[in-house]
Amino acid sequence: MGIKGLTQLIGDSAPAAIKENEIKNYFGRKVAIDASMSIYQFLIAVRSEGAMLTSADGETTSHLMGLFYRTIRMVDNGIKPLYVFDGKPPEMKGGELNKRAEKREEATKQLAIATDAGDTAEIDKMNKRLVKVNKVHTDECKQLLKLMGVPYIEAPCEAEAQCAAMVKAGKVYATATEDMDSLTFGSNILLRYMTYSEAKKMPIKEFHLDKVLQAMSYTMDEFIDLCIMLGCDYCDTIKGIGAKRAKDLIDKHRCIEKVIENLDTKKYVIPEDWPYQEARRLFKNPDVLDPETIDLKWNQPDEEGLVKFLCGDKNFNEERIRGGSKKLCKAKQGQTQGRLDTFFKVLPSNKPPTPSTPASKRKAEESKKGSKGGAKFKRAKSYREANRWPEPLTFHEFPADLARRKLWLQIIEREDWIPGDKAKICAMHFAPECYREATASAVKRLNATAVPSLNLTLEPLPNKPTKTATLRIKNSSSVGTASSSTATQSHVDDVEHQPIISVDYGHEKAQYGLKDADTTTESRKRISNIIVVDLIKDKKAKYPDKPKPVVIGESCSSCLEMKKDLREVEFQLAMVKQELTEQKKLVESLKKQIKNGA
Amino acid sequence: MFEARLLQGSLLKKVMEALKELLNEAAWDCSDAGIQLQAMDNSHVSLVSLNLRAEGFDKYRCDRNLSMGMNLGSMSKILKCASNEDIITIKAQDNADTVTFVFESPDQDKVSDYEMKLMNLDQEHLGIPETDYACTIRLPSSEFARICRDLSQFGESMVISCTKEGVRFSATGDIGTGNIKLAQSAKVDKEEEAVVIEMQEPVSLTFACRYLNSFTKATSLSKSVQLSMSPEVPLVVEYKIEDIGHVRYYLAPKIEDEEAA
Repeated sequence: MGIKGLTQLIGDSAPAAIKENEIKNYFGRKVAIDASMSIYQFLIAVRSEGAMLTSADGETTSHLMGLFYRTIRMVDNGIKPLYVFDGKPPEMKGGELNKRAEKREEATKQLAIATDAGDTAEIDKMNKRLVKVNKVHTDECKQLLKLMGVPYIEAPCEAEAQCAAMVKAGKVYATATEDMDSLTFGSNILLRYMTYSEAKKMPIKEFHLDKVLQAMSYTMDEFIDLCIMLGCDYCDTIKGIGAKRAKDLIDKHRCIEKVIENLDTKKYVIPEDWPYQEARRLFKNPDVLDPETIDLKWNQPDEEGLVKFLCGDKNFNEERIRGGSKKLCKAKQGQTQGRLDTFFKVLPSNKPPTPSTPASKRKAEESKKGSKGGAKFKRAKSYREANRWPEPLTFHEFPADLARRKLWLQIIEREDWIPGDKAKICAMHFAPECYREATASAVKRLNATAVPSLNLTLEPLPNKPTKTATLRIKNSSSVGTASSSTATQSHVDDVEHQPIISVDYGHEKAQYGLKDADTTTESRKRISNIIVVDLIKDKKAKYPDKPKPVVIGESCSSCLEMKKDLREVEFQLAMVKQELTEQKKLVESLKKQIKNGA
Repeated sequence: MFEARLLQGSLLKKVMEALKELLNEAAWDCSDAGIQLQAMDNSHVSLVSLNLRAEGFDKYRCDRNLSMGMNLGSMSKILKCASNEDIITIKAQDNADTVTFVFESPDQDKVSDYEMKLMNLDQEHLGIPETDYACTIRLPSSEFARICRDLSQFGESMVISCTKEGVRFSATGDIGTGNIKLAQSAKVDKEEEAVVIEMQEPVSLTFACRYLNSFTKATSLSKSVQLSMSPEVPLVVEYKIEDIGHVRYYLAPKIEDEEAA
């Protein structure tokens, strides 16, 4: 049933996609319920002393009992349920159905053994395994729903697929089922435990497909492939590949075809005649009724009809049925409470998704293993989040117009500097009104009068003593890297960046920088952030073995986070050194003059 | 580093009372402008927006923007430990996972501090557009609390209708109906006791009493309350907190069922 291990996988890698909510918070929502699934549940769960409820002549009534009371529970909470019944199972499901039949046979045998042995617990267990929803059950349920005024539809094929189609079309809010299939069929919201009894006090679990895809960075096609790899009702899986490996493989290869190409066939055997393409087609284009043609109507319950049907031949308690019918009536009338989200727009969330322990552990490992860039990227992200900067951050070139370029340089206090064609200023420094109206390309562009105006001055340093302490440590390390990297620096072809850091680290003795670095922090409160963007380039040149492409976030990190960053320290060091060289030259020339004079 | 010192500690206690009935947890967003809080209740029917400006504090320092997720139940337990005359200071380090509350007695001879764990909250923020409301009604806050309490005995929901003549609150239920009409005050002795109605067009909306009753927990913060309504948009109930800010509640109206018609 469903997709093997998908719940666990989502819990691990996309915890933000799962929400828990109380049933009363779903008032006013239309929900499509997978009927076959719930009837099956009722047959198993609604029992008294281990046996199914029956009428006087021995006919099962568990399903009716369950359906009646749990539907009322939903309606009482303001939910508008809609039941979807399974049609014909797709041919592909034959294998799975055969397997289930085999299991049933097995259970029958076990039951016989248990009965002989008199093991009641075992008898109970096997009895539950033998439960099957037959046509009589579904027909009775349909009749009951009609009397209750609750709409139902019959899907041409799989009920989950029909539910998903209706969610996609916006006809209903969510699919309520225990089967994770619904997500694979594309139902954006899946509710679990909706039809559980009140007594269990089980909060409803909400799965959001869009958030799953976002957190795992999959497209829908990739997600379907992942589900097939995990194991669905329609075809086998590759032996020995569990949830974790399946995810890793899809992460790497992005589709089943490529996975097969790259799979070590000695280790894993791909099942012969593996109809994954067919399964994929079933998930993507299932046989469903057009949601637009379905007319949903919640009617008044037929109280007399209910009493006749349930109390007559099914021996239900009349008083309780009438009571339930009153509840249905009451919920029908009146108004629904509106929701604020329908009036106000939800702003994009600035919070990072909070991964559960296993995922976070994995991440921590990754960042440990990963390059320095990875860790930096993470830090930048957290900084950006703390400062509520919505992604993605854009970068803007200096204007070609000389007058405006001069103005920009004045603003950033670097008039003596000629920006190269790769020098950019990040969007943090522009006010919203600096941008043109949104274009079709959706790339944010500056308008003709834009000037950087924000965040030009660094925040005051929060904690000076520690800051200088770290400065010292970092200095010593940076000097090390600086001198080691001088050789590669000469290869830099981006000559235009040289004016900014025109200091050659190698020729300078380290101790000068060490002594004076902390005095300059004070004097250089105002540091234009552009420098940092260029500094990364320089840095990149210094570490040519590092991956070339600069992630936007990374370059931005430096832009935002410079005071904490090593690069900034290096920059300050460079400035000090520059000053020192100049002074040294001055001293030298003075000395010469003195000598000459003497 | 974040530090906010409030001379009137009772004010924070009252704010807490105003929040905790609707919200279980909320993120306190601190910036150099002050402290803000915006959160919806679990069912997404109402929203609380609290604003405490930096100037209202005796001492206020916020080096970098900070969002502190707090369990309001725990926070109210801590604030219960402060007596009404105490001076309350809220402190937190940057990126810390705890917040500290310090209570000083007025004569400085007793100082207690409590540390509370912060939570990692993933809350949705709503963008609330500036709206010109068709009706704004100002009335004494105790009067409003009384009306909500009285009418909630009749039914689950209350109709607020505002016309030229005045404002009418009504509720219908199994036991009967209740109506309360308030007319604009003709002469006013004290400003906060006046009923003032500004109206562009008449509005009539239905709201759940349960939420309105929760809103009135803020009554002690302000002598008067302002209700703003427009057709088919949420109601705004605003309590101004003297010298420091406001607390605003938004409540989605009840909508006629399309199928019921």
